[in-house]
Amino acid sequence: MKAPLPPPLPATSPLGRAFRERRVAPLPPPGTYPDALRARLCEAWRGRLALEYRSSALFMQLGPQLVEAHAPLEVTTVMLEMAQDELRHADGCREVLAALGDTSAVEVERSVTPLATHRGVSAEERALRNVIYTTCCSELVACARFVATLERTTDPFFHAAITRLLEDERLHGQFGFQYLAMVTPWLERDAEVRERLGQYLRLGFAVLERELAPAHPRPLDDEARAVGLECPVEARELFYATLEDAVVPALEAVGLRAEQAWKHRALAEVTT
Amino acid sequence: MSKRSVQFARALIVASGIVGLGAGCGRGGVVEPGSDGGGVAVVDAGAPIDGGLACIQCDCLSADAGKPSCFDVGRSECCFAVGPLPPPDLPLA
Repeated sequence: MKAPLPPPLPATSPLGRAFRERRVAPLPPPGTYPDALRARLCEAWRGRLALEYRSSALFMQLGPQLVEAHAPLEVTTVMLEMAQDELRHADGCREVLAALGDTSAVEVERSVTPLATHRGVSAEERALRNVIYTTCCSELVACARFVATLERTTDPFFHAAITRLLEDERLHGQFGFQYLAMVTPWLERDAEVRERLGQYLRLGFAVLERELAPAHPRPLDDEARAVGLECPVEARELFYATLEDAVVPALEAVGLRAEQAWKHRALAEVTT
Repeated sequence: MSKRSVQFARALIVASGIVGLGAGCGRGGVVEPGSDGGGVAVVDAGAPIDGGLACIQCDCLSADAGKPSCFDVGRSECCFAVGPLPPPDLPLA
């Protein structure tokens, strides 16, 4: 069920003021863009806003899963801060849209998709599966894409807006590996968990590929590249490069059979 | 493709405390469309749906004109990667 995102609270309201006190660095003024390009930019940033908003609920749900996994409170705190980051990113997207002159409400998802529970596995394994998928995989690919986008974004306004997002995404992409490094002794002791995680990665990698590697990518024109629109061709190439040269070897390094899982990734016929 | 992007990703991992990060899978390239890289069939990204606007970014649903925006069918991730994706569920058999 979708509904328009409520308008920003005024800075005069106590909660609005509390929120604004923690705001990120201001953006420089935007440039002047042809109407067609401006329309593309608005659509892209409206899409980003909706996705950032949705993402916050996912990290929020990982908080209780980390509690159930008896993770150190610092770990759960950082996870919930990451959920807040996503909400602030959504607000940042709203700011970009306002600067472009688009103040119409963005439709956002009101229903929250329940986070995967992996029935039958322990609380520790459940949290680890979801941490690996969301941060080691999904968020690390997002980091790589943001870096590639920034490198070709010459427009100062959009360069600053994307940099603000990347500043938090760095932590989001690292969180899972930091968590993995922490739980490696447990993983080393439990061969069955490692085996099941390897099987889970077969499915996880396939789903990730379906979601993040555009099947028929179009190249992006130079005008759009300069203002930081995402390039589907680049996204597809970066997905495979990031998985093969960063994610898979890192998961192998902690004893997971990630290379085998990547090689035999599949959307169906996977059981643990 | 920006090689620095992947270097950046690897640097984040190393900074996270993961030791022994290898050189990678060694393929060093992009898997061809439609390939699973390992002999297992991978389901296509989505089925075409009639009506709506074409996606502004890619042909993630169909190369034909007149297909819905990927936003309209809730599959915009491939074009606008931000935030974590929901993990798939895999109960014990």
